[in-house]
Amino acid sequence: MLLRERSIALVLLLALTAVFYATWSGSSWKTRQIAELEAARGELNAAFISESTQLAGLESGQLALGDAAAAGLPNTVKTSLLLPPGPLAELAVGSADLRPAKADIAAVGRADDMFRFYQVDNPTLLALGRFDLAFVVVYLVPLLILGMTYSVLSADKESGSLALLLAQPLTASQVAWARITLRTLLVAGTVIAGSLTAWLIFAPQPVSPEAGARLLAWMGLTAAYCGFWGALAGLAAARNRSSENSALTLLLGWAVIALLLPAVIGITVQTISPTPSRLDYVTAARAAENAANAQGRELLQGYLLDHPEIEAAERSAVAPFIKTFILVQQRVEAAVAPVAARFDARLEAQQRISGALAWLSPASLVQSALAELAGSSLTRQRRFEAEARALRRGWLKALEAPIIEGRRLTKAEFTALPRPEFVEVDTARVLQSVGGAILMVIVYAGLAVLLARRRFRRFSVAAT
Amino acid sequence: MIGVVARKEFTEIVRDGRFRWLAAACVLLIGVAAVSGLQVTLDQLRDRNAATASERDNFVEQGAKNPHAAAHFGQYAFRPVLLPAALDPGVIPYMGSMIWLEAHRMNLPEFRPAEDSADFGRTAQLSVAWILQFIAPLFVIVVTFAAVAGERERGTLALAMSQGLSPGGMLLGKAVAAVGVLLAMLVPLILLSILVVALAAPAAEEHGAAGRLAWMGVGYLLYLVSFAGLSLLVSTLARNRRNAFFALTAIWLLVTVAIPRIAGDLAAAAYPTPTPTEFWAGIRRGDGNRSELGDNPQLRVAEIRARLTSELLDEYQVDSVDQLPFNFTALFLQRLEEEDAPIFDYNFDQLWDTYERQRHLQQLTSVLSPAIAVRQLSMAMAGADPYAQRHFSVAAEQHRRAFVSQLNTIQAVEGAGKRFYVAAGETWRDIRAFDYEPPATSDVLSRHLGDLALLLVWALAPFSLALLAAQRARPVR
Repeated sequence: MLLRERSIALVLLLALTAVFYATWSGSSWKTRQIAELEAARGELNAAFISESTQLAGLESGQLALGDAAAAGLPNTVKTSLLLPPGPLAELAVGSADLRPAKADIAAVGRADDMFRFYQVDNPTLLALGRFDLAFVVVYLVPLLILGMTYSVLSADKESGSLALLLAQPLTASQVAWARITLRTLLVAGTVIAGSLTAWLIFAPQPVSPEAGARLLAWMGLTAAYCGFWGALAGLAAARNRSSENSALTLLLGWAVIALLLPAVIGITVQTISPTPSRLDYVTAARAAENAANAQGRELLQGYLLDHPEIEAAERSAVAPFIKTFILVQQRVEAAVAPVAARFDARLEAQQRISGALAWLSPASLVQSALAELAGSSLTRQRRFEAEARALRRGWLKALEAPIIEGRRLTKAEFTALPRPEFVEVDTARVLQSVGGAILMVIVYAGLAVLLARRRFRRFSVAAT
Repeated sequence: MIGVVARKEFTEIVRDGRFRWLAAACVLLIGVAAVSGLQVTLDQLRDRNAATASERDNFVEQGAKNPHAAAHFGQYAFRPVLLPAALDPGVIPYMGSMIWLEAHRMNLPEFRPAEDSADFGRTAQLSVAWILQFIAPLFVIVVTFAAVAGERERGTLALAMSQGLSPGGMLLGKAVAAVGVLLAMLVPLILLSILVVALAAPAAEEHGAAGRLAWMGVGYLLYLVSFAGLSLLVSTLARNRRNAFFALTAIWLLVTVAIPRIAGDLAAAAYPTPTPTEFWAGIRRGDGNRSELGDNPQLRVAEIRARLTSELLDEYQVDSVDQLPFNFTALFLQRLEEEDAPIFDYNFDQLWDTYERQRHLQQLTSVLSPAIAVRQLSMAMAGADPYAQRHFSVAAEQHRRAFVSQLNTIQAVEGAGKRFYVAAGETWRDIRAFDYEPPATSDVLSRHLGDLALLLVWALAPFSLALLAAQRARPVR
């Protein structure tokens, strides 16, 4: 009977349209990311094979130096660490469209050069964010639930049929919860089944092995979040007000929980722990660069005194200014290290406060958890950036001596340079943290149900 | 009669408890957002000015070195922040805050503030503009949705008609009251904002802030009036208050939340932004000034060197570049810059033109959502849109080319006959500092006349349709 209501059919159709469009949109984005990643990986492999073949040719004497002059030079060898899109990034783009997915690793070059050259996206589109499934779940699905449940009792009351209904062995609370549960399940079921179908149709192949468990958790979180909004509708019904009043209250409740609270959390975090200024970092690095440049020649001499084991090659393959440059670069990095550490510490503090305050808003909590499940969270991005920095340190350590010695790498040295793949965040840990979020949303829903129960005890058909 | 209706409606709205609560909440939120926005903007201004001064000192005090090494040391240009950004930060968090200007390369602005902060999501950012774009329309709807449908439901519409009030007259009265309420709330806020900005602004940073704020105010007024018109139209057409409320809530959701995002997706699909790899590959290939020798950058550089050498040897009738009356390397470096310039211009213009095409497509979808038009107008006036970024990037690039050319000239003249020339430490004082003036308000306005026109249509059309509907409306259904 419920499905025969035109408005309900319309709501479910809207939900399905939004879910399918969002999954298609997210999948198109991920497909493009994968293509970019594969192209980069192909280039890397080709460059690696070419350079190691040239080095083998030089070592065996099959190639003359002039035919492979740049092969194995410690100042020009490079690699990249690539960040694949998260296992379910097609469902939640999160921070993944904002931060780098590729880190260029080389011994020569500033530390922040690793992540340069990726900021080509239109800022307007970035600021808008994408119409992905996470957006549908966090913002639109609650409105659909509220639209279907705001008048579960008030409509009968306004038409005069509630008194008749309650003359049966039923309480207002039972009627309200039965209707709300059914309608919420209908929306949640449609959204979940629609998401699964849309994902099976649109998700870029091959699907990550971790996707299954994460998808299950996604559905659990969606169901819990739908339950929370259903519980709020129950609370509104228990207030025993007119349909118009209930609708207005629920709409404002949605605006506060989904829009205003996250915005207030954002501004509170910015006030308590302001975003660190990059300007300080850059100006400190520039001053250090000047100071180190002034000592360039002394730096090289000092280094050679400290490392008597290093013997300069008879004919240096590395230009002398590069030797000085790499020492200047190290001096600059050492000088800005405290500024960088302060910067990172402030950023981490900001993220901690933001993470703690997000528990105040079910919408923020669910949004973060969905991004975590999708593999598009800030945490995963920062982990990638940390791995890239560690890899660069490894390369610097391995290449510093050959650069100062001015000698070409051997094939064995070149192939032994670390070239790890990004290690995906452990799904079990992700599920653990998302489990906490699901539990918290259930607690919020439970609180709303408890409050509603108290209100229902005072429910009277006569009251307005 | 219209005046009587307007006065009665105005009084009813103002006496409505919901209005008082919502108005108080809106004003409080706007106040908090304005104070916090102003604080952030003034901090950004202070940091930027300090960094600009420090950067100049670093450049000037880099000590004795070769001019080309000084060109590689380069300069940072820091993006300016305009005071209206305190009310609308626009896409500032998603734009690079500085550009590194160095020899041989035009760079993209880097260090986007959004990357250096926790993830707060992109739907909600507490700024005055966000409140006016998202929350204020809800407020307008809540205050006006029952204007006609409520009268009809209560039976007072038939009563008013029987007193000789025309349906159009009644609607006009209600429209006047709705706009009056909006004006009573908004105008003091706008004036207060201008006053605060005027008091807070150092004169040097003013950049036409009052004019920009005034145009933002006009945009928001038209935007909110369009919601008042929509609300009256739906209220006139709806069978009852409930239907009016739901229809308007759905419209609000579509107009402010769904359509702008979908329009963004469509713009990106219709005019895809190149991937970083594609963009830089175009520059490496030399798109815009392709070499006959193909895509290899090394071959291209060798070809340029050979061509220049041959030209100069012919012109000066000498056998070797060492015999030239100037430093050949400096001339070669300058020629490279000149050969690279069309490549950078072509590729960056392609990128920015893609942004522009995406903006135009979004502007077209403003026909479905005034939120898109008001957002584009507002952030443009706040100097917080991609055009502001483009204007700044172009000016910074012109400065880069000028100072690199100045350094090459110094090396060409002073370094004549020297294999490796080292300039004295004082040399860098003569190199121009970057001095940037953002686009004039009139330039920005001329780019957004389309948005203003759309907002005007949005403000007038629903009222006109509501008047038409009112003429045909039945007092009882």
